[in-house]
Amino acid sequence: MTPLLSLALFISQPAEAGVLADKTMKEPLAAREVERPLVLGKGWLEVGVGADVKRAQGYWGPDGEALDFDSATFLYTRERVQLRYGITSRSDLVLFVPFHYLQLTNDTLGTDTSGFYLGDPRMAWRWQPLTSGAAGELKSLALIAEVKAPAGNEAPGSSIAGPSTFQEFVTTTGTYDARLGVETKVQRGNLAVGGQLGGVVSASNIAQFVVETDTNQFLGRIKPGSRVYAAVDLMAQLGPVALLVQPGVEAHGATRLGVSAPGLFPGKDLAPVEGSEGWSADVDTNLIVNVSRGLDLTLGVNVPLRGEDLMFFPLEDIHPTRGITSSATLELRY
Amino acid sequence: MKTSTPPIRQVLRRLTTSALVAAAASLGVASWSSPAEAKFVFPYNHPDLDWYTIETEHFFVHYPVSKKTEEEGNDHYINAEWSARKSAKIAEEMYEPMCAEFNYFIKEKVHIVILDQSDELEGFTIPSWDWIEISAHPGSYFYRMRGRMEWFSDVLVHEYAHVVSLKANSSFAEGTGGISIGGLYDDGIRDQASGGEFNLGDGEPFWWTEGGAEYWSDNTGYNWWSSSRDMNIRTTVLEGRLLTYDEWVTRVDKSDWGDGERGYQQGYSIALYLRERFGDETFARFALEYSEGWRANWESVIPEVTGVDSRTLYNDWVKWLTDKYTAVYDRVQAEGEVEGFEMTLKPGGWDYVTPEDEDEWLEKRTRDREDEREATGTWALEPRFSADGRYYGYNGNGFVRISLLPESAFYPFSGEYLSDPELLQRATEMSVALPSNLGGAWDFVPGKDEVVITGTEHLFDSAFEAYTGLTPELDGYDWNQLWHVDLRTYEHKEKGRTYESLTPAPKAGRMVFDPAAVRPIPNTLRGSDPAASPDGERLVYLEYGDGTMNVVTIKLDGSEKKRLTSFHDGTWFQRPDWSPDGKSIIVSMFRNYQNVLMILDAQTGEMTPITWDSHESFDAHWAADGRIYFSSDPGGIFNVFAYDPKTKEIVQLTNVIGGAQQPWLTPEGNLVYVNFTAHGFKIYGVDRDQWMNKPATHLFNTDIDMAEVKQSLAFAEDFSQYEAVTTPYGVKDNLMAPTVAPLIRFSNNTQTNFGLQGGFQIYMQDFVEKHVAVFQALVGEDTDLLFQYFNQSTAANIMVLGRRGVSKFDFGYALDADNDPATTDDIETYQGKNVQQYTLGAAGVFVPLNSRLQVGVIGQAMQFGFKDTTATRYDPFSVSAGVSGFMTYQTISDYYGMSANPPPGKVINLSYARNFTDIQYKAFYGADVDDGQLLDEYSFNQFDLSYTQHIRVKPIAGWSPFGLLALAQKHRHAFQFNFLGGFVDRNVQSNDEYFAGGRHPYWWGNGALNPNTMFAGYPAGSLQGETMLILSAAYRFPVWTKINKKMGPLYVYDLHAQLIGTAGNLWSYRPPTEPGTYYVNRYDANVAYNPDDVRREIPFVDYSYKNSPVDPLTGQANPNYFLYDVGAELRLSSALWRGNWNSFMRLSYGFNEIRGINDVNGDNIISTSDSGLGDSFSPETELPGLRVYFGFGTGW
Repeated sequence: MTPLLSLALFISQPAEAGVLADKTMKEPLAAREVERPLVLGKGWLEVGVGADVKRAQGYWGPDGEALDFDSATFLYTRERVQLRYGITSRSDLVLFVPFHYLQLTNDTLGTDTSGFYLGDPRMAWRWQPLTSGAAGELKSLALIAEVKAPAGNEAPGSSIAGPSTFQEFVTTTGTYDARLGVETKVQRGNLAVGGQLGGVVSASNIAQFVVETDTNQFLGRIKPGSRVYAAVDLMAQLGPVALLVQPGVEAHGATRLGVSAPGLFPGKDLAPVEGSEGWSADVDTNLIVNVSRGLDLTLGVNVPLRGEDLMFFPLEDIHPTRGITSSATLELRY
Repeated sequence: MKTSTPPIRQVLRRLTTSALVAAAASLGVASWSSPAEAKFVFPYNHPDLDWYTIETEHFFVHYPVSKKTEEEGNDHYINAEWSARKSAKIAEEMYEPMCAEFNYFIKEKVHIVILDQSDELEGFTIPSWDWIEISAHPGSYFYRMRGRMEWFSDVLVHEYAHVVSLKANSSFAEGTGGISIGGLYDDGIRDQASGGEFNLGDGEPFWWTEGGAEYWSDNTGYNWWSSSRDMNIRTTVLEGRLLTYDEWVTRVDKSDWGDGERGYQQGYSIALYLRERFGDETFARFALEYSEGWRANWESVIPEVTGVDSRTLYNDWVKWLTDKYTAVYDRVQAEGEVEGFEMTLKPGGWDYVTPEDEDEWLEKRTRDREDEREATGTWALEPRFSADGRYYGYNGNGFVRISLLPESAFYPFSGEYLSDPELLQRATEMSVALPSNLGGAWDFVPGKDEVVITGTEHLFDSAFEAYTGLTPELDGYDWNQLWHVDLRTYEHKEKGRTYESLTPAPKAGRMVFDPAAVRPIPNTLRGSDPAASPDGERLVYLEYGDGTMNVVTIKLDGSEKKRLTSFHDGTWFQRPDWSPDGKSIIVSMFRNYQNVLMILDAQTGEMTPITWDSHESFDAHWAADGRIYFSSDPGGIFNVFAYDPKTKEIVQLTNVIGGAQQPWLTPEGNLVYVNFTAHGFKIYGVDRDQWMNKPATHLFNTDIDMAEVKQSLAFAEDFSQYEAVTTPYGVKDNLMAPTVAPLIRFSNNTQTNFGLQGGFQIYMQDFVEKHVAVFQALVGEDTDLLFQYFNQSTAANIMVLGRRGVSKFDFGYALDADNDPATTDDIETYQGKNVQQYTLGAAGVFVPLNSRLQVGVIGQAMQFGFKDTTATRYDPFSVSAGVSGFMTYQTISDYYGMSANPPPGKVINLSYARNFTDIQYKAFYGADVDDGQLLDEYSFNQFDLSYTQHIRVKPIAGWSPFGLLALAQKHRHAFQFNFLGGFVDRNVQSNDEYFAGGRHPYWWGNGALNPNTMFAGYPAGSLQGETMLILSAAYRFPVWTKINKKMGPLYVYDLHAQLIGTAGNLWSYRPPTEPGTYYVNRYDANVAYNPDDVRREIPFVDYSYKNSPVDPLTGQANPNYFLYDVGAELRLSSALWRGNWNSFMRLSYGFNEIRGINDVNGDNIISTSDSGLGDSFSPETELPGLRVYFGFGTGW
């Protein structure tokens, strides 16, 4: 018998058949959230569907003050599908596709505008160079590289009667974003602590919502400000239920506008919009129910603590409105 | 047998992920694959077969059974039940030991598909798809390279070793197999297009993959280092032909006769060496180490497992081999080598006598020496002399080559090379090459100028077939078939001289045999290895059925067929031959892992063994002298032996270092045989005075216990247990787990817009490929959703396709306030962006009439629309629909068509389409102006013809000025000719016109058969019109062959160059210019009052106004009657990780200044200045100049 054979723990069992039968290469996955590393594990496919709902009645002022809309209510929802696949033992690929149902009502103007749109999809690669730990003592560190593509609606409709007559919601910045980040998780028993740190850089692009004001016919170029973010993850799990609290801060640079420059760097002539930079803080709280290894249900709430903005673009991705966001997510794993 | 290329690559080849929207108002073409490419093995669907499934604990085994029985008149009846049951048994037996090799016990059931539709070796394995396909027929010469062993265990264990080893090895999840990453940057200002494509996957090398499958079969007890394998590596080592460390990483350039097999056996050999040095688990540990994490260079696992770097280890192994085989060589020399000489008419460079000749030979490049050695034949088999000694013949690379040559003409018997030019010319003229099956034997018919050969059903072309290539193969079968051929003489006239030949005189370049002289022998389907009886009346041959060969006799006219054996258990007979008295038959029999010689009674079939041992004894020939000559390996080397039936004594006749097989006694009593060398199977001759004549009876077991023989022959495995677990094949229960290939695409659609798309492609099929479905989603700034389904369960292939895409597109406008291009101060540039969407549906029926010809009908409908910044929804621009019929005739497979220098052949595509378009764009009031005509709803006919011909350069009727053509032939120079013609029978909107211009292969697929070089000197899509006539040509030649260098994961092997040129044009319709015949609309376009005033341009008579520049000051056209370009291209053939990764650089110069619609000069600024012709075309032009293309891994 070879040394290799002597190590073999051969438990003969009938092979499995069928389209969705488990494959041998699939790696073990913990049933409880607190025990799971940051990447999914080789061979696992995770399909997540969920929704976020925010009914905003205000916004953040340029000095961080909380301001209310005069007479408007903005319903911002995000319906999302996320596919995550463990492509190797240490990395997974993520495809995130959002949709938006949006509604803006203004009692003073008597308008009630709504619509359903595709948002900006994100593609990410998460690589976990470090992971270790015996059972109950997980340590995990992952790097994430993500790209957001401007697939959402960027045509606001006719503005012949002025900006307030736009008939459509814009659901994209019109630009590509690149995010680089690092995530950590350290687990001891039923508790885990971790953190997130990273930055987002936007490439400039011509966007249909950046319309020159002389003829409303030709377009401008926009480059949203770069962002850095940091958050702390605190998790405790009891049985199949985990509580995750994530306080975080983010600072963003000024948005830049202008027309394209010739050559490989068409955004080099853009000028910053004064006062469009700022910072914000929020707390994300999630209750995760591990129904089984293959099914999680997550209920969450996000509370904005502080913002700083100009609110010159009606774009949640650049200048979010102020309001509490409630969310629910169902994750199926195979 | 082999493993697949990465599934991701296979899948992606089915679709072309082209960017559909190429410019602001121009539409590309949605493309789909031909279903003929879709099936992995056969182009035919074989709806005449039912499929059944045997389910075991760890496997499904699927096998075919004809719906119509033999009794019902089906002469192509198939029932592979026994083969399937045998496979099921072996599969379960091998499961545990093979999985234990890696401690990787596979949970998922693996599907084994038994193919029995052809008489060729077929098959492959795709481990991540849990899919093995094998043929029940191992082909006719496989065993010569591997040794005789039970086929089903040999092939199944090998393939299952792939499944386990590659699953255990893979660092990627099986659902993906890797990631496809690609991009294209097209810069119209700088006139360059650069693209690249990578399929990031596992990179295990060829030698480990295939050598490992052999080795683990050995380690689990199903395989062994046979004399055939030793023959291969022994000659390879002694003749200096080992694949180098760099060479053996990939199989992509190992398609010649020997290197592919060397890759298998070298890998097996080094595994045995590592077992000896480090332990028998070493090869498996490489996989376990690699699976820990993906590495760019797989070989980096070797030092981690063995502690020795991989190159040092390779060199150690070479030394080990060299020492081993030098000792063997010394032993043979000490015994006295008896090899004879190669049966050639003139000496080769290696047959040097003087030191000067030796120096001249050794000064040649290694590769040149190898080419010369191989020029005398690599698969030269089955030598024969006719009984009267007049004819000599052999099977060379699948042709039975017969010449009127006595044996005295050959050096081995005369001691001198043929020097009489008249005799040499006479021998050359009185010769013929008959198509045949390479491994199937043939024979002269005694007393007649006739031969019988192993061929296939469609072996000889009729005149119609020869001229059209339209061999009817409608049922998809082309089984082996015996043919009876008269050696007639045909009169030839050449240069005023008349001479006779055995070959028909070619007419119009085609050779057609008289149908009366080449006759299929009735009732011999699936027959091979014929031998004619001494009286010339009967044949003995072998008949295949369900994994088994049996011995049959029949009269030459196909009557009185008699089966002498009736095994149905995998017994495999080989090369029967008659005794001189015609009463007995000698044949080699492989059964129960034993390869022995048997004498059969020609009347009763009673079997009497003459050897009964563990040696491989085969290729028996019962000569006129009464002795039986055969090949066997009692000393580990195949040599020729002679058995005397009277004395039962055996003597050894040859003592070679290679391998002596297929002996034949000449009428003069000399020996001809096939000698294996590192340069191929060669025919050698040994004068009878040179024979070794060493007693060898003691080496064989001739003292045979007949009771044991009877018991062995009576043994039959019991497979009855499988009856209860056999069910009709159900698609639903046999669907493959979907493969999801992640896709990352980068491209720019303008200078300032860089698009990135991410998504995936899901591929799914059932295991006998009745149904195939592909779904692809790419999202980014542009989104593309595609679904394609193939139904391959009927004679015709049915395809349904749906596709929807959204593309965001930015552009510039140069507005000229006074519409006068001469004044530039008033021109302002603005930027814009819109969103375009298309929805496409298509359905098609494709019918493969034979392996070359396919016809089909496709219907499609598409809607195309815009959404600008002010729009709240997409405004439909046009709706179009059409039905087209097409024919594709192709003599080069797509696989070879993608090579840097494809083999000779042609591709012809012919199509007719009836199309309808309705312009719906509201901004244009539902109509558009093109060429001065207002177009709303219209129908049109479209005719397209493309023709590509590849020709190898060679002397023309012996004429080779300064020897250049001969030199070009030697170095495989090639000429490629392409014609592209199209005709639309009315004026149509711009989107329906033809477009031309340089193309980068990244978006449009590999282009050797549909060259991207046409008009490469002009920007992509810059030329257009309703009539298209384009000719292009290329002269291609190797620059640096056999580079064979490995750099990390990249392996580079060949560099070719080609000079290219294009001439032609696209002609359109002309708007009226006579005052009073037109009005000018709000977009400055001239619109004819009477559509009849819009005139069609006539090719060769008119210049193309649309593609001709206009003087901005005078408004006069600078006419382009024809457009020209020339260029040069370098093609680098290489492999990245384990797959093809071919790259190119192309420079192309367009001689003509052109103009056209929209952004002709590629600066992404659309000028709206009046052109002077009174239409809305831009006056911007593309000046004559150089365009540069780079492709990294994109093909050409």
